[in-house]
Amino acid sequence: MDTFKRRGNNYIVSCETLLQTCKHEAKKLLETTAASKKIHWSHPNFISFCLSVDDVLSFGVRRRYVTSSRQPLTTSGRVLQELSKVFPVARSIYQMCYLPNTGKRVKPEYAGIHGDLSSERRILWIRVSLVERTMKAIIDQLLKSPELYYSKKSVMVHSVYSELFAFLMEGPCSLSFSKMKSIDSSILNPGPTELVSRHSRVFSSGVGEGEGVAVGWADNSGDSSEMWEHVQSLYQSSFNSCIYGKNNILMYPPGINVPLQGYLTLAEVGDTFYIKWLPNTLINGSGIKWSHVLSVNVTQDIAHIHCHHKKVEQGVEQGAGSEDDQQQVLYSELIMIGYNGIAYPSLMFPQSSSMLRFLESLENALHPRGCLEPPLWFLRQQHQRNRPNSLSSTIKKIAVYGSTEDPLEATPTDWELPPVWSQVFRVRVAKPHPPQQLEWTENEVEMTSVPLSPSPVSPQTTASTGSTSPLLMEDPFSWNDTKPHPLKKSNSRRYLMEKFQSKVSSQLLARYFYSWLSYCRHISRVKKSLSHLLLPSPSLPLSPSSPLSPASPLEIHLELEPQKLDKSLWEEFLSNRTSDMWNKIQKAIYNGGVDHPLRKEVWPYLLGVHSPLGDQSDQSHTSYANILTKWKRLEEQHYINNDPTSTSLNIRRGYTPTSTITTPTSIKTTPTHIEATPRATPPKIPDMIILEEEEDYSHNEDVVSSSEEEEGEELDSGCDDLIDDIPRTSGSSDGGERRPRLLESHERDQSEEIMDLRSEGEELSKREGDFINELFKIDKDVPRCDRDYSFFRIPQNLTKLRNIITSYIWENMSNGYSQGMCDLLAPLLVILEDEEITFHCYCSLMERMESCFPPKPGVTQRMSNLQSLLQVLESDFYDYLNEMPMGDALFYTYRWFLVNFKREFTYNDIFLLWETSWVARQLTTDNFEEFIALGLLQEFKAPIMDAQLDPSEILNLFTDLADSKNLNARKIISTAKHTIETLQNAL
Amino acid sequence: MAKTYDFLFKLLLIGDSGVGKTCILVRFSEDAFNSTFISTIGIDFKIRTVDIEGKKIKLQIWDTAGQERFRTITTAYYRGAMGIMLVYDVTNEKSFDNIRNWIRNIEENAAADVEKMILGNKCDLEESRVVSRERGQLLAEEHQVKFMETSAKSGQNVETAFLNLAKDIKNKMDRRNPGDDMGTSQSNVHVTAGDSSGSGGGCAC
Repeated sequence: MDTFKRRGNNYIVSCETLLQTCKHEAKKLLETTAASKKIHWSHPNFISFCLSVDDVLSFGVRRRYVTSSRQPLTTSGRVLQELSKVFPVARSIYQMCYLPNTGKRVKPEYAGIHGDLSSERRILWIRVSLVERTMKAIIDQLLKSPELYYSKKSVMVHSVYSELFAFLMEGPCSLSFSKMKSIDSSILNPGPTELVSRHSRVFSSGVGEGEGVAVGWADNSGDSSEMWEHVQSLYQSSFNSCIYGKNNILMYPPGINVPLQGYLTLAEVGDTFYIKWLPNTLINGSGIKWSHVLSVNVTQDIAHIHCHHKKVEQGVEQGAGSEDDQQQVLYSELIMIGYNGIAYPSLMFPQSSSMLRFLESLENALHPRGCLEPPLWFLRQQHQRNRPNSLSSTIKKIAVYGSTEDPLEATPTDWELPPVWSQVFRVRVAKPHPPQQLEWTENEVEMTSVPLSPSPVSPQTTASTGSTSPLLMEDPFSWNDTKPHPLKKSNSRRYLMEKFQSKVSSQLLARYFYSWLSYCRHISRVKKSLSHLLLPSPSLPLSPSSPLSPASPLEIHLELEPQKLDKSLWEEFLSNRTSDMWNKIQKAIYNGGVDHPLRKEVWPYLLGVHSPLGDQSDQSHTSYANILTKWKRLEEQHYINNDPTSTSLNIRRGYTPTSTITTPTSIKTTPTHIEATPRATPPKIPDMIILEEEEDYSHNEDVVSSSEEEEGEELDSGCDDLIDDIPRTSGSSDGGERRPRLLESHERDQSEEIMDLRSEGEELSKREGDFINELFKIDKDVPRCDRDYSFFRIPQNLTKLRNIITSYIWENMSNGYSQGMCDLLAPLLVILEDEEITFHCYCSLMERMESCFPPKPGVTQRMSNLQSLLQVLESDFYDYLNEMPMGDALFYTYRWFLVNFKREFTYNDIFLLWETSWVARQLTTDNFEEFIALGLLQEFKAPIMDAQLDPSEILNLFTDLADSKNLNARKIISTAKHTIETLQNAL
Repeated sequence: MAKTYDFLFKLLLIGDSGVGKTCILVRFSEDAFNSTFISTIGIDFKIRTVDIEGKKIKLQIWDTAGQERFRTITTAYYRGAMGIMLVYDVTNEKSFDNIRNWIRNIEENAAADVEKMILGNKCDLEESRVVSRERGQLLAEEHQVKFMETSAKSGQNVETAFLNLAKDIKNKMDRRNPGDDMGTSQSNVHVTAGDSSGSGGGCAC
């Protein structure tokens, strides 16, 4: 957002972009609050909204008010400051956020939101003013005379945009915020996005944020958590390994003559190294300024290292003293020079040996990707004290590199620096080799523990020995060879070189062999446990972009695959229905899904309701209308739902679960029975129906009746009843009017039906009784199904939903109704809209899904497949989970599998996910859902393991992510596809 | 960093589907009510920390799917629970009758000394009530548990019920470990692990 060009037309574009973002964020924010009355002031949507507002308010501010990001007060804060001089409301906000003097401190009640991220500091006043509900006043005031604060090229001065912005802000300004959670919990129980962002912050930039020049940290905030991280990084932890540490290293900070004592470390973080120096007073906690801390990235920033060693005899200054008072001063100074030529503050070591030790550790650490020039062994040779020609001892010393020598020992016996010595080292780092594609990191670790290579080679480079072999060859001292050779003086060097070369080559061979071996082991494991998850002969050829696909002559002829199903491709298929064409369609869908307008047409083919090849052999279903008739008749006679909180869109008749069909007299009297009993639901209906829709019931009567007509003329009295039912619920008076009509028609029909019922017998059959029971359950769930989604706010759609579900249950009474079935139906209905088609598609879907509903073991089966996948492909995560109590239960995946992720993603994402999984069944795997679950776990594996979450916290993480719609379905789908492809190649 | 709570209590909400378990939970943890809450699938939980007799108690309240078919799955979570709320709907006779079944379920699957409480929810719908307060009271006395009528919609008694249950649990715990102020309760306290990423000893020259 800082890169707007403020020239010419670009300014308009920027305004538009800013407002677009702001609008988008406001919309998200308001959607979040639609469900719950209040929103928490740390909610991520709210934060991102505030960020977008800050961008608008900071854009085009007059130059004199612009502050740099280093200052504690931001640009928009500065505007607030100016405004507060004339506007009391703004002043109160300003005072709340920043005490007048320092402009930096924050009042304790808002201390909790003065968080870690500098972006939070940026939006502090905006948040506060929104919570205090004074933002609208502030914006109005700003808009009264914007030219005071903003230049011509800003949103606020522009007549149109500023008004748009003001309108936009009205919604969020009227929100109310809750501050329920305590400060502590928001830090210790971070929300999912906080957790993920913390994790990425820690691991992407390396621990600590020192970059380049140490003088003056950019943010000088002295933020305690950053400090804590930095201090902690000095210690050995699982995330960085400390290679060298020494206390009492002096540093001369620039501008200060007095040296500070501090602790110097060399630490390896990931694949870079950091040299850090912290003043001791900081560690002891006496709050020294942060600006003296030194943190340097070795591989990126250091070009040269200058070392000076000086032993000086200094005369005593006070009075004449004996010679004993003469002091010997030793300097061992190390100065690092960055690539930009700037020198870091110099570090003074107490003894030359400690400086040498540091250099040795550095060189050791840099190897094999980097080295010092000239290498240290060369220096040792130069400064040999006793035996200049004894290479053996030199080699011995070098070979035992800092590992066995006592760091407290003064100097190695072999060499010692002369009294005055200077040397410039060049730090050379080879470009890192890109990691290999196959993910067998665990095997690499296993391999490096093989005792052939105890040298400090990081695991990542093990697999890339190919490229580093030149380095190895150049630097003959690449591993510990602890066997000194009795050498002949004359041939020693050449013999050594040959020996080293053979050692290197054998080591290389061994490494390659072991990696091949572990690869084979991995493949066999995959084969054994995962082959059942993939189709035996995938009809999906490897995509040309896959790095694993071997170049084969076949691929040259492979035409470019369609990336998704669009109109032209679909029409092509319709005119030419061959199985090849169908295959192509399926691949297109697998690659990129179906274009939304086409879904209505395409899905019945995907679900097998329409036959793709045109032979209409599948129309042996019972007609939907017949099904409807059958159960509606039963319902109207025997179903009364006294539950005021369920919708029951149908007529309620006197019914208790154990009643039998009553005699004709009672049937006749039931119509009057309705009038007699005070309705269990007075017009004050239920929470289950959105109250404003009540009026719609009566208005929509006509609409409903027309839709009923569509369903077919076979519907008899059941249909009429339906029309009359709906308005009845909105008021007994209305109902009463229609009732006489109803009674007439009903009585007529009833008289016919009496004969039928009596002929069937006096009792409800068991099936029918069970069915009525199921109706109760259905009516508990249908009114709750996705009522926040616009489609289901329309009552007719809920009716359709109910009809389809009930019809399905009628046809499948052996299973009965289970919670979750509505969730599977809802997306189908949204896409297909037509009741009958949706019914058939739903039946097809349920053929597969019915085994998931308890007590059937479908979900358990999927969970165990997922376990297998984890065990093979994510074994570290698998081990981590198994260490915890109930960790292997994976109960957070239950909801995923039961309703095919419907609760985790938005509708649009679900459409894509489901159609991909349907075609996957023909193309790659019958278990696409397990791969999606794996993708979800992989996505969040790192933050989970980093924060050491236990299973209930993992559940919390995923439900929070799902509720806030923060899951990126497309990414996860493509991860799943990639995993499938990897496995296919492995097999 | 110090823990922000002294004890962690795991609670469980069970009862027929549609009685209002999720609404009660949301009312307690977020002070909000939504009439069209989606039906619970699987299992979910919410957290709220309360103050009881000077101690900070973190309540981890698990919400289950109510339908009978899911009972075998949800019973797996009974064992760790220290307190269980059995919820029925005062406007639904069947849900009241089923309380006995739920109690039996608890006896079979939960810890023997788990604290229980019966809640009659939706008591704001006075006109549609079919289970009288007295009946509910009677049932609770029969099983020797406490009883309260609540309304997630109006908020009536929700907070009281949970605090009551938590207090009972705490008292039981105190009785068991009399002098143990900061003791861990059974085995269910665990520290939120945000900051305990292995810092080993540092070298000190």
